[in-house]
Amino acid sequence: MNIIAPEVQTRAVVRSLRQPRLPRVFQQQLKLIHQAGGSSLGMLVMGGAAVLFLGMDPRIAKLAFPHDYLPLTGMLLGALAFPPLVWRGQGPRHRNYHRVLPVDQLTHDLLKIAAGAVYLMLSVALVLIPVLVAALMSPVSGLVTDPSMLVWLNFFTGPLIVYLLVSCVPMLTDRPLEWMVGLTASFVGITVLADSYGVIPVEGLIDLVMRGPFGLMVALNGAYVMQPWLRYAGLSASGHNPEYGAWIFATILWLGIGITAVCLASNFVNSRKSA
Amino acid sequence: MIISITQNDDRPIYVQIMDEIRRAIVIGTLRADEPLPSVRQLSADLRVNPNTVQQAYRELERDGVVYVRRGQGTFVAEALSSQPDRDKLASSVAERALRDAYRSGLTVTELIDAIHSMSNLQHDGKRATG
Amino acid sequence: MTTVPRLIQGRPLAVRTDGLIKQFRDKVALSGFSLTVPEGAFFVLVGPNGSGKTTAFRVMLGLCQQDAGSITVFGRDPDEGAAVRANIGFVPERHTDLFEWMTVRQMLDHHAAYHPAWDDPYAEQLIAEFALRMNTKIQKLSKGEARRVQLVMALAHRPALLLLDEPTDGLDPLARDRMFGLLADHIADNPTTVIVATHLVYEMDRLADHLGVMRDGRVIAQVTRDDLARHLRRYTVEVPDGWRSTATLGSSLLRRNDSQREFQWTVWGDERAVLRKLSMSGAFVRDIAPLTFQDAALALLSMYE
Repeated sequence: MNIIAPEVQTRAVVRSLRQPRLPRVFQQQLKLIHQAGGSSLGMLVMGGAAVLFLGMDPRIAKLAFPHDYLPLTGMLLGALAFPPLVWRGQGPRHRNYHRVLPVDQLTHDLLKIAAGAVYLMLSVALVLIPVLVAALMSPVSGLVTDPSMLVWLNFFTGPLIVYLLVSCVPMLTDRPLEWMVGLTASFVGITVLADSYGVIPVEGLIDLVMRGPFGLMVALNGAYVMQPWLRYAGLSASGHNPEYGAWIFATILWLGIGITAVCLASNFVNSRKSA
Repeated sequence: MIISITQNDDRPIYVQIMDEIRRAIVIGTLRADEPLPSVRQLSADLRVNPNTVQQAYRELERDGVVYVRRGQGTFVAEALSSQPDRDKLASSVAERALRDAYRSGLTVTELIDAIHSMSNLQHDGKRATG
Repeated sequence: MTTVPRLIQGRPLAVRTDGLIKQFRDKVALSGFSLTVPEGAFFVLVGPNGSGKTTAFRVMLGLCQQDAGSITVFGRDPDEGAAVRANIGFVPERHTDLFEWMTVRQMLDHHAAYHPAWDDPYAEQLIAEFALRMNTKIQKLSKGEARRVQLVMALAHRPALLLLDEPTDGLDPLARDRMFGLLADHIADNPTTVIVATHLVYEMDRLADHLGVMRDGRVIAQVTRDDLARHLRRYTVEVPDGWRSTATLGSSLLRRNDSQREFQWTVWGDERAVLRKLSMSGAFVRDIAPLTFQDAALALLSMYE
């Protein structure tokens, strides 16, 4: 006769056997993003954005890579596509499944973000190769006039900062695209209004955050141009005027801000009051 | 052996299982030294909590209806004398009938008369068709 | 006169909550929720929609934190998180909490990777019994199919605690029957504590050995099946014309259904004591019957109304 197994609970043993190891979780998150179309779609967007911006440059024919700034702008924008792809179908209201799994919730969220970052970095690398080739073949190539590797690093750190900051949006809302558009629009709106009505404190704050000595702009493209807005405004012709010290500091600062932001977003959702 | 239990019965499920096994023994579908289904098997078949099946088997063992051979299962006990078992079965059937009669406000005599006339009817019917 | 118990005592508990309070912006979900679920129990938690069953599960899983009160799951605070969840198999109320772009196979593989205790042969057996179409995308599944996927996900790592929130929701009668067979088989094979939240009590009749009744965010009764069988009876009583009830049954009278000369009273308590009180008041007890599981739950639910 089958005797019902006695209620023996060797909990200490059971526990260690029952929780997944973190590398396994990381691997699953990589797989998950891939299955959700995040990797392929992300790379497509990234490549498309880079090519688009490259094509916009009237000096494409005499491209001086990597000193030319435009492909980086494309990649910074391309990075925007990744967070919604990584969190696809897992907005705060639909994240129950993710949250029920036996992994510490903050760790789990960070592993997911890290897995997304892997695909982001991979996309950047894949886009850089053809751009590099194009630059090499361009007739007036000023390639590798700058001995510093930091320029190359900027291609990776810039999109990474964008990715981290924007990751908060799909973590906190079920409609990330609408919110991204809305946030951008309101930021532009506030900037314009503050500018035109001369609201000094707001202007000053935006200036500090965006264009300050360690502002976001410096972090995103400081290894290239310190003041890209001048270039856009036609006030600076120079394509390449890096300040590595400020850029490195700003990069560390903004990566820190990005990581803090996603941690806060994770904690906010995981301890949220509503069901 | 077919065990059937029903939700619309006053008897607890374990008692229903016990009665069904007793019935199977009395009518001969379960014989001495034959194994009962395992607890797991029967609980899965009946969609019943295994503890309930376990309880039924335990009580049957206490009554001497079945015995447990360690590691092998539960078996039907040596048929003692089948008459006491038949009597037990009959009294449990009678008990249920009595309770129903009582609920309907019938007396024992009325019930017995009705049983007699019903069984005569069935006898006559059988004779007529046979 | 005895009253309906509110706690189960004297056995090691798988889940114990004490006075949980949880308030959301617009409503109180739990208002002093005290539950005691012994290890190995098949505990049916019944209550009207919105009585707090789902929130109670979420607190047990550490998905939301109570405002006040305490809870332990196998002696640990669910707030510890992952280690507690690793021992729980969960079927959520919603069948949509899955990754809709995955195939059933991918979904199960993903889930298995998170549960080192996942038993592949057992999972395959469950898949076969539930007739799951492994290459179908989750978004193409019917509600019942998604439910079956969730059941496999909850069972195949043989957790010590199963939390099933309306598990039969969306299942057709055949799948329902299969599920009960698989559950019976599962608990025969594994030391498991099961808590089922449902309002379809009769479905759980054959499996349940404990009943908890919830109303307005708290547990108003929790009893073992043996207790139910021993203490709960429906008395059919005939009374003379113009009879006035003098039997003082107090709060042990759960439900009454009176006509002119015949009463049907559902009473919790010792049968002989109830009988004595009724006869002393001049009533004639025609019948005493135990209640079906469903009726028992209904009687307890309507208690104090």
